[in-house]
Amino acid sequence: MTAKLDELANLIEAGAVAVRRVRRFGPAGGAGDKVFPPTYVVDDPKAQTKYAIETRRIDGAAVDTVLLDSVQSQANRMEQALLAGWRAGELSFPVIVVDFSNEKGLEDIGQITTLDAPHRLADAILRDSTTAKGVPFRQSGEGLAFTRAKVARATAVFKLCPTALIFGVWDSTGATGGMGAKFARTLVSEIVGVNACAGVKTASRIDPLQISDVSKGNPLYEDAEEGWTFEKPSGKSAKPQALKPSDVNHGNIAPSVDAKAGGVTLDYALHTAVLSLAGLRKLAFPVDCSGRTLDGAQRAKAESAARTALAALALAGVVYQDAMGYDLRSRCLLVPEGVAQFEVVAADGRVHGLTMSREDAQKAVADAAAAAANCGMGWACEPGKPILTLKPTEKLCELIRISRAQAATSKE
Amino acid sequence: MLALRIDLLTGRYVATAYNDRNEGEWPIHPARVFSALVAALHDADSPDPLEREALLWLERLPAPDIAASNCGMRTAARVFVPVNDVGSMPDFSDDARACEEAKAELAAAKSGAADGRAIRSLQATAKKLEDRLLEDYRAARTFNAGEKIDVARALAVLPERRGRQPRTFPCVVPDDPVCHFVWRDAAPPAAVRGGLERLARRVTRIGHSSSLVALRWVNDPPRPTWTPSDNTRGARVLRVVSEGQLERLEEEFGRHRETSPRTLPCGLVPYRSASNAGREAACGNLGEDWLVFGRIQGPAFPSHRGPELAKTLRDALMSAAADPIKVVLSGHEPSGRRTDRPHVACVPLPFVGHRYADGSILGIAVVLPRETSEDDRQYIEDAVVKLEDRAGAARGSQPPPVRLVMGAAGELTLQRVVGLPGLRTLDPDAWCRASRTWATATPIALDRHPGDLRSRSAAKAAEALRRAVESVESACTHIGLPAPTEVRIDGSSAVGGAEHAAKYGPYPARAGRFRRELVHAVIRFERPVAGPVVLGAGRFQGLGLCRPL
Repeated sequence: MTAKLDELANLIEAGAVAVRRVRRFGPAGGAGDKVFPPTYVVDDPKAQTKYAIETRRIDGAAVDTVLLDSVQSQANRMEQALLAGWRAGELSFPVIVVDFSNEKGLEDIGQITTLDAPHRLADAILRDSTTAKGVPFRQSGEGLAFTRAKVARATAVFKLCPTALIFGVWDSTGATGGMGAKFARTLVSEIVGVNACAGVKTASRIDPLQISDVSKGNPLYEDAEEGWTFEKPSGKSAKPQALKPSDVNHGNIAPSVDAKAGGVTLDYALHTAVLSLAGLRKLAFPVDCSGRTLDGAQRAKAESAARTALAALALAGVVYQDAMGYDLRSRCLLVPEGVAQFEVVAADGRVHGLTMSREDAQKAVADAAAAAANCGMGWACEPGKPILTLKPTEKLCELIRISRAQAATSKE
Repeated sequence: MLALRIDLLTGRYVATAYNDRNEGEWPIHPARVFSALVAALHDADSPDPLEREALLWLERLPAPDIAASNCGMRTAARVFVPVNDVGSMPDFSDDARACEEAKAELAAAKSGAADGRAIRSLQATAKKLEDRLLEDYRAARTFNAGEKIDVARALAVLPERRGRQPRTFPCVVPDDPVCHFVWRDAAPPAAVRGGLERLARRVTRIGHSSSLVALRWVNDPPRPTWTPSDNTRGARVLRVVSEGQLERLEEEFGRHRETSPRTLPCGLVPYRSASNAGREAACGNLGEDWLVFGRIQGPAFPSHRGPELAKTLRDALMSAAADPIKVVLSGHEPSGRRTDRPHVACVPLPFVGHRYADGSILGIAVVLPRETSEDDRQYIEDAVVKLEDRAGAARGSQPPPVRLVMGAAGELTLQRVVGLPGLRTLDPDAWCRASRTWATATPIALDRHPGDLRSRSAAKAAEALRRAVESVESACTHIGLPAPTEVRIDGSSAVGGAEHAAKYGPYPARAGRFRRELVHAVIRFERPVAGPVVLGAGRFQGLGLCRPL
């Protein structure tokens, strides 16, 4: 066992509460540059912006902070970061894929993994797929094992989709309805902008051709081949609609000012990621990955190894996100300020540091997986290869083809 | 002494108020924490009887005192989450179960003493069920031209075509991400303490799954900030537990199984700010019982328009109130003479004390005297409700908005705040928290003219200042507060964003009345004073409103 893995295993054994990382970021354009937070539908009619704003007390002063990346969005980004590590063969852990790449005309969809599907292992796309033998996923051995999983019997999910135990999963629409497997997330990550000051955004277009509105004297009409024409279509069909040059993307667009989603300036952005080790300790594994019942010291050892593997994978999610960068959306690129350091919150509330580089994380995941395998909690996976490849049903494929054909016809 | 320390590990608390889906909850409700402990008990396949005993002991304790800081609330935003109830695959579980059972029966017959005929019959049944199941699988995955299926539902399984449902995740951000529940007179037996310790270690979240916590039983809690109270006025109602709660929760779980809608069984207890409830804080004759209206539409009036707004609201309330108008609202005895008794004050609430504060009026509070009788309170509430109903809007989870016409300046739409106010300015606690030092957010209209405070003669100015200080001191004692130990007079306020006294026009505005000198002040008392502190001649119109420092 490496020192890093040893440290993680000890933390879990010793009852440490959480591992967290709080890191400062600044806008890529430098201090004072504007960034664009996500906009929301805000019910409050007196709301000044479409952003999620909150007041925090920092160093005794009340300052406005703005939500830059939500918990849900962060989970998706970390899943994509783990997926990149998995595809590169750096991180090896179980991933299930639904493979469209061999379906005629649907090759572009490619593979949808349990790290892409919105509801992870419980997602409808897996439910609508079958094993190579044509058995619906949920009726296959793996699917049934997932359906029967619980917090107190989590081996099936650990074996098939450990990331679902990190980011949470609820089989709310499976065979047992809302009583299906329900695992709360153990990793929570969020980015806020501190001392946010809302700005305005302007929009306008100056047409280099300076085409003015000629529609009164010379109206334009839709044309199937040319896009538009001056010639009024003849025939008995419906009355042709006269168009302006702006309808076909010519002419100036008058300047407008958007004060509700005009970006913000910040003092800094604050990324907080918290992994609940107590949450991992709640997961129980009474059987090993081969279905053998575990007892006494053997079970304690296997459970500890499995939880350590999950902790290593979760921290890898945080570290690998660093490698992906923080280009959160258009005009919201953040760059880190200083070196990132994890800290461990011990059972008595004391805090101490924990360093983990990308190489450390990669090695910790590999070593933790090997240690877990020694206790019967092995992930039966090869680097970069899915643990299970599902096939979308012929029915689903045909529906997508029909839908695409209809969309193409309507465009014509 | 027994104290539970709750650390909010992410610095936030994501939990929906029990009476409004768009509101956050703060402080953390004791009943919610008890439920989290019960969930920790039942996470295990076979709950530990000692831990169960510990919860049975805990539920019998009275409602705890709470130590929690103030909090800010994130603006309520709707997020859209992808649904999962889509697809074309039917549910095979019943047929699959029947098939499995038939196979199991066959296996049992083969290993038992069944005769060949019975085994053949069971074999035939199992095969028939299996063939039917395989045929069902085939039919579910293959597409027949012209087949009638819900195309949109099937196509929506692709992540980019997935429908989305609106959800809200109300979130509060406490100034200090630590909260304590304190049972001052509780002393658990060792076995109970052990059970409580083990349960607390297994609680990982309270509220939403992103609201991670660490729970610990400690012996050194800070002083409570919220205590249970018999008085519901101005109180925040929190959900608490009582004897039988564990069984009620277990019964309730048996019914809803986390699928049906559920309600947390609980008792409701009013909690008041402990700093004010404590005996050590002095208080004036206006109370913490506020009916607060927030501005939802219309111009953002500067603070100096406050008295005009207060008068408009008072007139509107008078016109809505039942006749004869009671003294508590009008401030006049039936004879027409001004009453000596405290009565309702309409206090505009300016945005002050924040880095970006600009003094604009964010709302207005109808502040009742501390000693208001039940009848009088009901009378004021009836007037407010009648005023709200006048607009003709339906009364939903929020009261209907109230429109006030402010002459040529325009129309202001206000809505009464129910539950946790989204803005600190609209939270009575921001104005009522006990403090030794107070500063005016709106200037005090001095009861007596102090002389020329701006005189070029140093002696005259000093004399005027002395009189102004005296006037502020007597304004304090006039409302029942102790005499301050120090008063500093200035034209500008010590509270950020508050408007300079010179910005205010003549007060009272009506011609022919004695014009009051308007001054800002910082006032220090020997012992803590609970708010509201509203001083001077214009206090019933919100002048002389002080903020605790």
